Amino acid sequence: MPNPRQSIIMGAVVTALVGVLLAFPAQSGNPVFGFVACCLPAIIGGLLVTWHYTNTYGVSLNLGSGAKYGAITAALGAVGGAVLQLLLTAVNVFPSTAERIEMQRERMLEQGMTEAQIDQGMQMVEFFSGAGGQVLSIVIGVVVFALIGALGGLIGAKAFGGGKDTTAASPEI
Amino acid sequence: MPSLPPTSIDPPAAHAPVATAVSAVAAAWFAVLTALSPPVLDPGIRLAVMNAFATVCHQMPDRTFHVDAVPLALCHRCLGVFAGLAVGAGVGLLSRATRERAYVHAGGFIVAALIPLALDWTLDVVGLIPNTTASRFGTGAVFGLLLGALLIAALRTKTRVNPYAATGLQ
Repeated sequence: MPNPRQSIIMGAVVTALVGVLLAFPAQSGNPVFGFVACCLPAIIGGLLVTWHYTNTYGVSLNLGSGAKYGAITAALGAVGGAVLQLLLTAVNVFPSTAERIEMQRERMLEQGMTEAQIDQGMQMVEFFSGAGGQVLSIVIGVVVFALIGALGGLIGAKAFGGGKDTTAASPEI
Repeated sequence: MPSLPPTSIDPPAAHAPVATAVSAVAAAWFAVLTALSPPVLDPGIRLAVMNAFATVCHQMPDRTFHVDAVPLALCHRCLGVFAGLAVGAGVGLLSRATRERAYVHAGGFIVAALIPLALDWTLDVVGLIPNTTASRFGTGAVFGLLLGALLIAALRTKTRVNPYAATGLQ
């Protein structure tokens, strides 16, 4: 059975790139592109890895393997996207930490928080704009992306890989 | 070089299927409970959670549930997807009959999951029927519910190698 590593890496790179591309308008508050951005990078990653794997090696892919490959691809894509965003922030393509903190203050004002709540919130925002916040965001992002990527992989395995294996008539245990 | 015909060979399950499926159910519940948590969180942690979910959801205020004037971390549709996923995966884990039905009718499950979601979004975009809070949440929940059950069915299905697959024999 061919090793899926190449397909996973290719899918993860595309997931990361699509995620970062869609993050541009979302970060500047564009509701149209932000709407399209919903879950799309992870689903694309799951679909892509199954398509590339089955197409390149001419093999079928069962649903479980498709889901796993999709989950791994999207999770790696989430990490890659986060690293890419950090790099783009470092070169001032994405908003800096100070700009993001100011955007958070505006969000809190929009949510109708009082000055006391905002001051308390801003202390936490500054804390979570550091390493702790980045790690938390990445952990949640990886879990969420992996779930959605697994669904993309499921659909891709069915659509591109036949979604079948020799156990189709006897689902497990 | 001509492409090879598809084979039915797939690697045997490398990990215990139950552990993988339980992990998927746990991840789904973690995601949905975290998305529901902002109203009970400290403002700073709340914003960190909101930021984390911003990578997968637009979080538009008019399309997001609020509790005590605090928005949840996912929009109506995404919350429906993740809530459905958590429930569907849980049911799939507990019910063998659901897993069998999902696995045998995988194509039907996928189509049935996608059609309501696609219709709700498309009819709104072309201006025929505007979607509502209920339609967004409901179609998202159907999508998550069906694919959640199918995901667990797929993860819990043991894979075995058919050594004759390349010859077309079973």
